[in-house]
Amino acid sequence: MNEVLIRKTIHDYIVATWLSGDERDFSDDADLLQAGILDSFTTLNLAAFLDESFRAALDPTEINPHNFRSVNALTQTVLAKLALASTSP
Amino acid sequence: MRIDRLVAPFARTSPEHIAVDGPGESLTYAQLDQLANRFANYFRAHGVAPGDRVGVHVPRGARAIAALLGASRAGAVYVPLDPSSPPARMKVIAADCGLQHVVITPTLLSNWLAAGVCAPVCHLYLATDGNTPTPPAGVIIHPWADIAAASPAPAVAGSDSPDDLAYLLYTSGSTGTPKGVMISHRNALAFAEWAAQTIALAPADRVASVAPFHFDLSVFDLWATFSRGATLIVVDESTVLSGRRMLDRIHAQNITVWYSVPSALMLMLDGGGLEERGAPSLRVVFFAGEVFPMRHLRRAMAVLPRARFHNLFGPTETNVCLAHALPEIPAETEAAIPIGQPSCGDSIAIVDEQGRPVTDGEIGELLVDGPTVMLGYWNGGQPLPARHPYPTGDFVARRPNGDIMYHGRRDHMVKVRGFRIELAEVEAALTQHPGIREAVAFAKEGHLVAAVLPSDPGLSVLAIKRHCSARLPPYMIPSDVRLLAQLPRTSSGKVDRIAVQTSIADCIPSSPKPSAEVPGERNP
Repeated sequence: MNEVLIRKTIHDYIVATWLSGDERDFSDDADLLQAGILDSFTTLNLAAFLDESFRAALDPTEINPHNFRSVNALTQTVLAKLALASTSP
Repeated sequence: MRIDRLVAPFARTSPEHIAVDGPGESLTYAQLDQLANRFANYFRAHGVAPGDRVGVHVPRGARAIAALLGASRAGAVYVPLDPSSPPARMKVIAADCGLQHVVITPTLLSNWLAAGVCAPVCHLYLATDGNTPTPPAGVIIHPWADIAAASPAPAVAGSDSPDDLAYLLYTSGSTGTPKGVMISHRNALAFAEWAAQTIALAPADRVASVAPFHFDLSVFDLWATFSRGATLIVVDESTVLSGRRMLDRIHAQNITVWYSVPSALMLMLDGGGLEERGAPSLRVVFFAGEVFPMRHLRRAMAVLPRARFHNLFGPTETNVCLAHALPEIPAETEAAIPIGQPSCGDSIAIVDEQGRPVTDGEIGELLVDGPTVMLGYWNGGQPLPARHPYPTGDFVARRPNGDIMYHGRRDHMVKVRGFRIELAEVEAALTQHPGIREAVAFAKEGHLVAAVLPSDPGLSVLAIKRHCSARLPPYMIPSDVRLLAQLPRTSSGKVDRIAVQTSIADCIPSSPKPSAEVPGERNP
C-alpha cells in the first residue's frame, strides 16, 4: 500500500470515527491530542485499527504521543513499521 | 484513626516489606514512611499550615502516594489533580479550593507554565528530577533534590481528630463547574476498614491500583492496603487499557485483590485472553461505578472460580454505602444483580417524592446516613454541609430479602467507562463557544454524545472538539458531536432531551469498526 493511500485511510477513519464525518478544518497536520480526538483510550482503538488495516502491529513503546500526533505522523509510523517488516528475515 | 497515622506502624514492624510497587519505582514501608516524612517536613518548612490544601498533580505511583501521605502528615488536606485534565480545568479547581501548594512533575509543570500558572498557586514542588524552569513572578519552584534532602524525622499531624477534612475529590458538577467533595479521615477509613475486614486483607496481599487517585475507587487501594501492611501494585493507565498487558501484569505480580469499574475487567475478557489463561492469584474482585453487564459478569466469575466477587455501590459523596457479595454465579435468568445491603456502618431509607418511606418493591430515592457520608461540598471555601440523611439522586427498590436493586438516576448524571459526568458541565463548556447557541449532551452505549445547535454555520466538529479539549478532561469530551439545524422542543419551548436522543439515534451512521481493546465500542 502506498503512502497516499495509507494517509487517506487513516484520515477517513478518524473523520468517520471521531469527527462525525465532518472533514472541515481537519488537515493531516492537525494535532490530534489538542483536538480532543486522542486520549489514552482512543489511542488504543487507533492502534488496533492500524494493525487491522495495514498489518502494522505497533509495540507498546511505539504507541506514544509523538507517533500519534497527527495523520502525517501516523502515516510515517506505519510506513516505518512496514519497511522494517519487509527487510527483516 | 487518621490517614496520616497509617504506614508508620508497618515501617517499624516490617520495614523491608514492599508498600508500593511500580511503575518505575518501588518503595518498602520504611522508604515510603521516610519519603512521606520528608514531604511533610518540607511542606511545613515552606508554610503549609494545618487545613491548607495541597494539590498532587503527579501520575499514579510511589512518588504521588508519598506526596499525598506527606501532605496529610503536615496536617493539610490533599487534593488529587488528574494528570490528564487540561490546565484550564486545574485553574478552576485551584481557584475553588484556594490551592497555594501543588506537587507536580516537570512535564505537567511545563504545561501549566505554558497556560499560565494561576493565583493562588505560589509554591510548586517537583516530584521528580528535571529541569527547573524559571517561574513567573510570585511563584516558587522547589526542586526535587531539596525535597529528597529534607528531614525524614517522624512527622504527624498536630490534630488527632478523625473528623478533620482529609481530602477533596473534585467531581463533575451539575452547575457546570467541578465541585469538591469533602471527605474526612473518618469517612474514608470507615469504608477502607470495612473493606479490609470483609476480605480479611493481610500483609501477603497484593492489591492492584488501577483507578485514578482523583476517583473514589482509589480510596480502597491506598488506605485499605496501608491499613493492613499489604503491597500496592500500581499499574499505569496504558497497561490497564490493554487487557492483554494487564493480565500479564496480574500473572507476573501475583495480584490477589482487584477493584475497578467493570469495563477494566471486560478488557481482559475480550481480547485480553482471560478465558484462556485465567488469573489464579486473584482471590477478591470488587467492582463498582457502573452496571456489570450480566453476560460478562457470568463469564468473569466462571473463569475466576477462586475469586470472591463483590458489587459495591455509592456516589463519591457517601463513599461505598451498599455492598453485595456474590457467593455464586448469578443464574442466567437474572436480569440484574443487587447493589446490596447497607455496609460500612451506614443506614439507608428509600422515599417517594414527598419524602415518605416506600414499601418493598416500590421505587424511590435512596437516602444514606452514617460514617461514610461526606462532610459537604467545599464550594469556594464556603462549605455546604451534607444533608443528613444524604439524598443520593439514585432510584432504587428493596426486595423482600432486603437486597437493594438499582433503577437509574433522577437527574442528568451519567457514567461513561465508570467516570461520573454531569451533562450540565459538558453542556456549559460547549455553550461557552461563541459559535454555539445550544447544546444537549447524553450518554449512549458507553459514548458521550453532543447535539449542537450552532449559531455560526461555519463551525466544524473539529473546532468544537478543540474547544472542549482545552476545558474538559478527556473522558468528558463528547466522542460523537452532531451539528443540528434545530433542536426538538417541548410545548413549553424547552429542549426535548428525549426527542433529541431519539432523533440522533435514528440517524447514527454505521458505527466505527469495533475493537477488541475498547469496551465502549462494544454492544454487551
